[in-house]
Amino acid sequence: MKRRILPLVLSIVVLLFIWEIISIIGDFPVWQLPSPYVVGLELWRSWTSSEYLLHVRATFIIACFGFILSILVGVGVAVWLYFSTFLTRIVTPFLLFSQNVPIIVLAPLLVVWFGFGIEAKLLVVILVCFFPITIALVDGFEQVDRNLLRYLEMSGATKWEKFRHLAFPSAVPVLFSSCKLSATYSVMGAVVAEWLGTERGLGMIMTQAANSFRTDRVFVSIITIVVLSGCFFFLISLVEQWWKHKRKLI
Amino acid sequence: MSDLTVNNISFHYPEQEVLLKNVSFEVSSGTSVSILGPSGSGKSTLFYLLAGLYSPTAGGMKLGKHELKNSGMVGYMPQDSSLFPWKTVKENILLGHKLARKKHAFSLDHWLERAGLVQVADSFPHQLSGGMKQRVSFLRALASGHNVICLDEPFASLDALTRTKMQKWLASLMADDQTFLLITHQIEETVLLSDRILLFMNGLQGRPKEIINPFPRPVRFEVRKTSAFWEFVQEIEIQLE
Repeated sequence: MKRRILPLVLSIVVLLFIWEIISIIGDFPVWQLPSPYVVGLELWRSWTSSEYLLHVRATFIIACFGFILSILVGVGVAVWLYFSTFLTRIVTPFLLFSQNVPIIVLAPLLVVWFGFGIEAKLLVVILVCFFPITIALVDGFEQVDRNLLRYLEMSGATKWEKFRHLAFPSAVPVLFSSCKLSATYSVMGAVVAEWLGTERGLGMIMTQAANSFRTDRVFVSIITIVVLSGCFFFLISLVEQWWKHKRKLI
Repeated sequence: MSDLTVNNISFHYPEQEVLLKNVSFEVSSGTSVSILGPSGSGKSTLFYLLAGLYSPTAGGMKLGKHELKNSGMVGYMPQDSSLFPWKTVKENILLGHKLARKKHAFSLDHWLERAGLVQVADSFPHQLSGGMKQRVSFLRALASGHNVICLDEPFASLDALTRTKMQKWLASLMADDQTFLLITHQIEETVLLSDRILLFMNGLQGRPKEIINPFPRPVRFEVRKTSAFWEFVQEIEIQLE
């Protein structure tokens, strides 16, 4: 554990040091590039303020629910595609289309259709997060051990039995990897959704801070987003470790 | 009564040369039969056909009175054990039972005990030795409840000592009411584990030469110390050359 954390801490210290040196040498005004010390003070003020934590909570709720729904949608679509080759041909172009349209362009449309409530924000998070899960699973379902597949075919297994005993368990490692990726996207998705208009959330704080040239607050929001994403990533890693432990892989 | 009838079957993989040509043989119920032939002659493919993975391009196969057309009608033990890594020993064995279309009684505890796998029943395949994996694979084939079980070079990947142990173990477990088909490159193994030997000397073509094993099952492994045993092994070897 120490071996893993030490390089991370060291790299953060080095980064902060370089940042501090640049801000001193460049003599930048605070609105342009605040020093780590200024950002640290603002970070402390924000994280100890109940008002700020309410904003964090609002973003956390959208990211969290959006992420859970993304897993359900991502897994659901992948399973659906596994069982229907015909539907795969129809649905795949739409899936690709959904990922090729920039979410920042699509999001205002979602607000027009679903309003400023939580629905549009959840949809933004789902659109950002479900695709990596679906694509990884579709590949995972295909990349099965050929010998195991042959055994099942020779045993007369149905498509459902092949899925249950081989395709899905084979895809579990890629499911975890894609969930880790989507977990980090979910907070970003929630913030983008909040840019469209909200009463609470890190997205709104960021917009207000940027508009009033409070760069230190923008940095605080960025750090908060990174920490939130890290927590999501860590949670998925914990579940993955539990799964590996259950299968005596560690 | 002939339990398994292979009648004039031919087969080739798409855009490849004919691998099996007019192959015919019969296997009586409750016997153990070894199939010997050159490497790459299509012995494993013959098992794939019997197990319904592929259909012959000509000819047909019968199991009793039923045409062997669909998969899931014979038990199969692959060369590499092919155990499901996310399933425990118990779950792997029971998979054979679950996949069987015809429901039948199978006492897992009884078989685990006979196979000496009680201690590792909840272990995963990566925690087992090569010999243990093959035992699990064999029990999975038994759990399928099929009367015919195909063993595709079951001990090829094992070291000599473990292989001998496994041969003894398998010989003790081969029930009289079940039919076993065995592919192996070890002539000694065919003599130890089978009642009849089918020799395909020029690849899988036509009717094989049949040799009755003079050492009746269950063969005492001590016969390996006799010159008669080795003379018989050598005789088969010469015929294969």
